[in-house]
Amino acid sequence: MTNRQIKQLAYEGLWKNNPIFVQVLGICSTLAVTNLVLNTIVMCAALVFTVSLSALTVSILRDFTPRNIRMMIETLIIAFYVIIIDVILKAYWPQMSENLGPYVGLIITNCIVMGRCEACAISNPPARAMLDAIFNALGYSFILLIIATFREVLGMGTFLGFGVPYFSGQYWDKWTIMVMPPGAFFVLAIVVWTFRTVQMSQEDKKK
Amino acid sequence: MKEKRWFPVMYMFVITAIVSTAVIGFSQYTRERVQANMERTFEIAVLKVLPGMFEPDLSFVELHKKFQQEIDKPTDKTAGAYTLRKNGTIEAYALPIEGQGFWAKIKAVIGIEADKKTITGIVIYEQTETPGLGAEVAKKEFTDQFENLKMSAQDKPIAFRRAGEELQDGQVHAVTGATQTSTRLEKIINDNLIQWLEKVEN
Amino acid sequence: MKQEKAAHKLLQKQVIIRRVLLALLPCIAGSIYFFGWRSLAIIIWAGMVGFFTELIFARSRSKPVTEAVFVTTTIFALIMPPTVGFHVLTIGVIFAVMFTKEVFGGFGKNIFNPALAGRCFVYICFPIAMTATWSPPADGFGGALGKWTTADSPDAITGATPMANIKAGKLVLSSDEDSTGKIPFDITEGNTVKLKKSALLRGLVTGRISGTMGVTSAFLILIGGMYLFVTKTASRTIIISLIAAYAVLNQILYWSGVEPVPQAWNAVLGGGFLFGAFFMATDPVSAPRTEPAKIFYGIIIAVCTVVIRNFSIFNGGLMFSILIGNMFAPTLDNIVRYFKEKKNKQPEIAA
Repeated sequence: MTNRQIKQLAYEGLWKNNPIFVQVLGICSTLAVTNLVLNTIVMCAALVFTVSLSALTVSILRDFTPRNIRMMIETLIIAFYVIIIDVILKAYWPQMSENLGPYVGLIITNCIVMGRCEACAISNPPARAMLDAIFNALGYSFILLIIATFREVLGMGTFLGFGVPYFSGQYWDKWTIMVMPPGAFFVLAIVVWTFRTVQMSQEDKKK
Repeated sequence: MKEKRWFPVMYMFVITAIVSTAVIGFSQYTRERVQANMERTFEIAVLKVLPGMFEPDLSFVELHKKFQQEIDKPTDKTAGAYTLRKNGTIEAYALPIEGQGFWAKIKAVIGIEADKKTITGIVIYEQTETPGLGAEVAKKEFTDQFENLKMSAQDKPIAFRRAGEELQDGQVHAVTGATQTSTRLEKIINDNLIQWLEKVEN
Repeated sequence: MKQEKAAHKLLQKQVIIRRVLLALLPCIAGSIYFFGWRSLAIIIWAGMVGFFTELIFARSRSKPVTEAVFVTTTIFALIMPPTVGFHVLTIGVIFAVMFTKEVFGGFGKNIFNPALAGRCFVYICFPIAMTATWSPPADGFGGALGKWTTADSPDAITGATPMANIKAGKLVLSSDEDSTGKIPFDITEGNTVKLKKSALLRGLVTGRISGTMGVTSAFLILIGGMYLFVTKTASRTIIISLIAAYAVLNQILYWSGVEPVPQAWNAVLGGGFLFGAFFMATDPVSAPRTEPAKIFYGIIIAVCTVVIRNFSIFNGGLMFSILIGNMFAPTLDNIVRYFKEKKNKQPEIAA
């Protein structure tokens, strides 16, 4: 693969076809796990792991997999990696496993994973499939981290558990709703709105 | 071969077999840890409220073993409380309590000395109160107040007082701003304690 | 409402809105008199934030800013506790203007009353700032005219409003000789204070009680309210049906001994109910437009207010109720129109 192609993949996954603000996929986990930055980082790492390895496996098997059962095979592979992560968290980081609740298991149904397998991995060589998957997962991750940063700083006055000046002080009434589920709706909406506006104005300029 | 009718079935079977073997093997390998972790919040809560039982350096698996070896399971005589015994005599009780909080159930363990007059500690190990407000009751700043707290002889063993007020026996300062959670937690603690004190064998 | 085309202007003139602002003046004056000059600063700041928020959106639509935004911000400021922080205020105003008005398409297109939706948002976001800290009203003839705020007196900050105290059973109304004539501000946990009925009544009418900035005095609200009522700026149907339904329902429940429902006079005068009835429930944009629907609208709000005020954990009963009423407004209108059409058609069939 040439540098140009890699750049193209990165541009598509991170910006032009961003899973969150363009495709609007995987929103349920976006809303659920972004209350604390640490939770979000772990969730994003889990997603990068699952998406990239699933895409790789699907891509390696693509020449053998019969077309009519490909979706079942894909789901099986995705489920396998997700269960592995789930068990690892349960065994070695139980606190995090509790924080994320069912949302690790729900990566199986996260449309981004299935979407990348179907859209790219099933018909492309392993290297390309994996890169595409990684960039998409990173596109998901950076939006989630932005949302989580706002939510944690405004809601708890902390960032990664450390107090942020002013926001952890007594003059800032902690914006409780931000760390509760409804807060995610507002922040997600504003973030998607902002990015879409920037993107659209870029497209207008190109024309 | 790919065109054969049996191929998809075979293929599915083989992939499933490989994947399942891997998953089963892995979860077998971590089974003990996962089990210890699942019970850990409750067991640690019990160990923490009993005097001198909790050692922060131990791993979850070791704490799990310690719990199983040294804590006696509840019996009819203890009215649902776990007990710590030395040479057969009860040193302290750990009573699991639960009740409705502001949003959902609050679950806690409360430690009581053998004389049933002093609280040795409380750990709230499961709650979904409002973060930053009601959820503060689970924090050390609040629960530390229960260490060696003498119960009041009046009809309410424990009473919550507003922050800054002077405290007497059986009184603690409530978390500021968390009126609803405080009222409910106070009720949960008192209801359970009163009920337990009636039932437990002297 | 008259829609003027004035794309080049910065601010759109709206006659009705000016009348509402005029009617709010007594309450604004009251808030300064009882709680100090900080109240005025809060109202002005809220107006500025609201204006700039709307300006951004109005620009993209190339329309002028409507004067209605000042009604929103002023009402919003008046129903804040006097101790409210400026960041809470800013967030509330931005939310009120942006999320309840502008994203729906600007003036005249919002489903909910913006001031109340904003207040509801901050109420849920900052429960401590909104419900746990009240400052006492200033004493004496001069009031707080010489002060920036009354919140700096030592016993301030953690009191409760008389309404909340009565609901919690800490303040008991009685006609005994030994009951106090002064409304207590801070009652120690576990104690109860007996209060003379006449004292509470006087407090509620003059407004010398702790509470939200501009809504403590029934007398001042009524000056502005009657002006709106007489000039027909606010819908008379809504005002009458809401107040009547609320008073009747309260009195019936009180007579049948349902705890903790207060007597009608107490309920109507207390907790800013009149302010809600005159200034917020009548908001022409979010209220129904047909007359029969307005009656039902008033009744729905009244019933919800009684239920929420007395039986829920929240104190902001009227706020939630008006928002619930807003939700039903379009449906009520549709039902009324449906029956009207049916009526109009029937003679034709007969003929």
